[in-house]
Amino acid sequence: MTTVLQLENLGVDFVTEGGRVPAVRDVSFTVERGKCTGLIGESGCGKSVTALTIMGLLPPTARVTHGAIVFEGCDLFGLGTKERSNLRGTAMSMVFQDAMSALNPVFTIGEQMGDIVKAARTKQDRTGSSKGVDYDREIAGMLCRVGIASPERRMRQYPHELSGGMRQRVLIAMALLCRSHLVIADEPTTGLDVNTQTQIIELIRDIVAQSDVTLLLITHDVSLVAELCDRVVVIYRGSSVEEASTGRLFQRPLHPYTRGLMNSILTLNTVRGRLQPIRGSVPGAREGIGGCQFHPRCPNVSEVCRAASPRLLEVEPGRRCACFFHSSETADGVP
Amino acid sequence: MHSPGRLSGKITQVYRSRSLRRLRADPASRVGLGIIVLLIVTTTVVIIDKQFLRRALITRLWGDPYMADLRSSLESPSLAHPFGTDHLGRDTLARVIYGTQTSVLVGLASVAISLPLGTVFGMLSAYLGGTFDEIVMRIMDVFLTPPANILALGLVGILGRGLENIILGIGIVYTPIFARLMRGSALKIKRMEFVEAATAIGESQLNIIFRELLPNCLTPLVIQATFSIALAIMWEAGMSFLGLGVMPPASSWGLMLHEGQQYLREAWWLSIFPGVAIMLTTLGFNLVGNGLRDALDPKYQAVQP
Amino acid sequence: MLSYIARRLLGLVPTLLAATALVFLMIHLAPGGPVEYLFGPYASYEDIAHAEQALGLDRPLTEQYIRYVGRMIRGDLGKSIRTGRPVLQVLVRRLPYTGQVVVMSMLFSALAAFPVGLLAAIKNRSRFDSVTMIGVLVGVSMPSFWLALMLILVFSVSLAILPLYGMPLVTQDFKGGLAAALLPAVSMGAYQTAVLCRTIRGEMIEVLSQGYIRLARGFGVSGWKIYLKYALKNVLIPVTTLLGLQVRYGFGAAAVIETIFAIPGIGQYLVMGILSRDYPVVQGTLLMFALLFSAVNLIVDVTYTVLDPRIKW
Repeated sequence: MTTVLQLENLGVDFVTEGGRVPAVRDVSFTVERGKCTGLIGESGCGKSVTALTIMGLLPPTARVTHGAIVFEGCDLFGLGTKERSNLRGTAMSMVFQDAMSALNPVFTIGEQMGDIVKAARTKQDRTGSSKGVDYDREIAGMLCRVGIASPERRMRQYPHELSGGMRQRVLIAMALLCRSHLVIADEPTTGLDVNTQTQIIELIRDIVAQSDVTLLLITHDVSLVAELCDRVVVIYRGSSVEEASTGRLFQRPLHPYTRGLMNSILTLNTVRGRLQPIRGSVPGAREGIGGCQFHPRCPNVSEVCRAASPRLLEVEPGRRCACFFHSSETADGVP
Repeated sequence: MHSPGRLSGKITQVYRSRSLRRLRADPASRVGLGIIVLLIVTTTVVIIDKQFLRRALITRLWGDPYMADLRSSLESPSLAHPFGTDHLGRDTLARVIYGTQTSVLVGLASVAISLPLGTVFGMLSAYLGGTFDEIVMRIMDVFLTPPANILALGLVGILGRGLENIILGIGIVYTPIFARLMRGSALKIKRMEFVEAATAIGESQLNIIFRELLPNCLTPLVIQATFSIALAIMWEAGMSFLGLGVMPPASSWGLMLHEGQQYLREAWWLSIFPGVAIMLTTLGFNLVGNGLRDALDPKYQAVQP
Repeated sequence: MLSYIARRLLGLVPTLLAATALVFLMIHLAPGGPVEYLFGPYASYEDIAHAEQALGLDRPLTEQYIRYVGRMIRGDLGKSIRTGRPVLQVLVRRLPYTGQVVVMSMLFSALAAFPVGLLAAIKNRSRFDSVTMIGVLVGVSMPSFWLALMLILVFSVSLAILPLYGMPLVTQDFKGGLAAALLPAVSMGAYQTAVLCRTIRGEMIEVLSQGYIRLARGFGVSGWKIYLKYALKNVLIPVTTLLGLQVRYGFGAAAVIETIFAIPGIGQYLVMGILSRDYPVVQGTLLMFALLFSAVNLIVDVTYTVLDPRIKW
């Protein structure tokens, strides 16, 4: 089966003192094996929460309100906690955003990686315990693979002794060591300087090309998606609004929000003088918006947008869009 | 145009009322507030009875807390004496009620001394900075290094016994705590933007202190003060228990426990009821302190019991 | 590491000097001298002046202080005015008793607080957690001396299973010492347990919300390993500070507890000294406390460097 992951109508709320706040309203997309799929959207649009829901790492204040996640043919919400936990580190793993806070400051890199590998192997091999097996060599090898020099020395060091870029590579190494089928990378380059960013991007590209790992890349950086991903899913305010292959999306964005995103980036082709930002700003999470979530900021808004919420429909083969008027726009997005 | 001071004051007002509503709703805090109200009412009644009625009211109800009546010595609890009597025949309930006044007085007075004093020092220290700050903080550190209970004990030991000395001793121990607290808050607020805005407009120094700094530093102070009252009451009880506190025939719960210790075998009531009073009082203030903290500033780590 | 300890030990000297100066100043500036107290209100001025001269109390303060420090360095902390016995010797002899009670109460509170606090944090917001917090509230509001009286009432008076007064050292009589130290340790320990439990729970909740715990979960590391290895070590760091504070607090609380249980420790010595205005005793004991506290601080700091690799000495 080529579809590794399929999300359908996912909705997640957070229970706070002031009431329930929806973080994810209606997200649907599919991830194909061996490909790199990008999840793109502004900060706070719910992409990280989506990732955590897939992994089953939501905090206790979160509630999945509706939807389904099917992973390798298995309905994740139908599984018990133990089974879900068994999937983590073996079938699916996550590269977290902030490497400094993702690593335990009081244990060495080697120790943390060792525990993770041990946990993964014990479940994968099913031969009982893996005591006595020395994973150090494997770990050192993987550290080398992700571009860390003198891995044996690094393994004996603590997270605060490594640079930001190195810490990020360690997180990537951890995910790779688990030999998972699905790797979710949450903002892997945010907070790094440009040089290091480029290196990490190259590393990821390298890994995706050489192995059959399926990568779900979460970012707000459109250029990252352009460089690395085969398919893109655009999220706005907790709902997926467009899903297409990277090439088609950049060539001819259908949804007004996507178009707005493209227009607000500087490219070599932008010679028109002024950038066109999307008007307005993202409304607060608690604000209820009737009809289409994007309609207050949409340049082509009309009555039906205020009244009803457009469904995510397949407008071309392999392409979905949630807008009533996607087909009536010209190529460069000007109405 | 609203001056920043008034605006910030308004903000704190609104914030506080929403939080205070939460506080009033919390059942634990309600219990605590109830206890405190009971204490204050009792203290007021006791003061009236003591000063103006010459203890007539309490004597009519259960007995005179000060006068000995050796015929009724060491009687176990009964209808006439619900808490029994002590070795001098004095009704224990009457003494517990009168003891309320001592504890509440110590708690409130020691905080009433140290809070303004510490606040002034802390704020001046934060605002003036430089050598003044250095010196004041060094002095405060000397008093903050030893554990507070030993310092209080030592101070009272040196000053001598008596209610005033206890209040003074505890007040001295608390002042650096409030000072450091105030200084910390003030330093944080000083750097915030609306203070810079006020200075830029040209508001006078004094105005800035009173309108900008003070209202926003109040929260941790209030929380700390509540817990400090609880601690002060416990300490007074402890010191009176050791014989360093109020002098007989005055009533203090700690003193009652001290006197009752000799008769532990024969008269268990002398050792139980005053202790329950201490515990309930401390509990009341702790509950309110917890409630205040949860409602106003959950991250605050108070020096508390 | 050793140079760090050496440096800290050297740093003790000015601290101790400051402490002695402070105590010295406080005692001599206090109203009413020790001699007046001893002689009572009917002593004549001559008697008092005579005694003060004999004790060297009529010399200028600075001179007295310098003499005191000089003697202190030679190991002489003066003699008790009341009993005439040398203060330092008495302190040294009494120290193990206080140590026994403090150590036992710390052990008791640690053994009780760690499992409960950790579990309450793991099961945050459950019924267990609420009950724990109520227990903490009660424990924190209960005066230790009252608890002592209650326990004595139940165990020594009514049930008569535990001894009432006095306490042999565990080095001399293990079982007896343990039995005798039990009630004092629990009386003191209840409050400490409550505070410790509350802190452990708070820190654990904080740690469990951290990114590295989520990472460990994200890679399928088993729950218990996460709690007992990954979380615990991070919790221990702030808890160590508290433990140091509690030991220091414990010495103070020991004063009251030793008085109740008639334990011959330095706390009881201090109280007796205060009550009889025996200033060499008070001075010497406070100095001993200062020394002990500095030692505890040092141990806490060293423990930090062991636990937290981010700290460099």
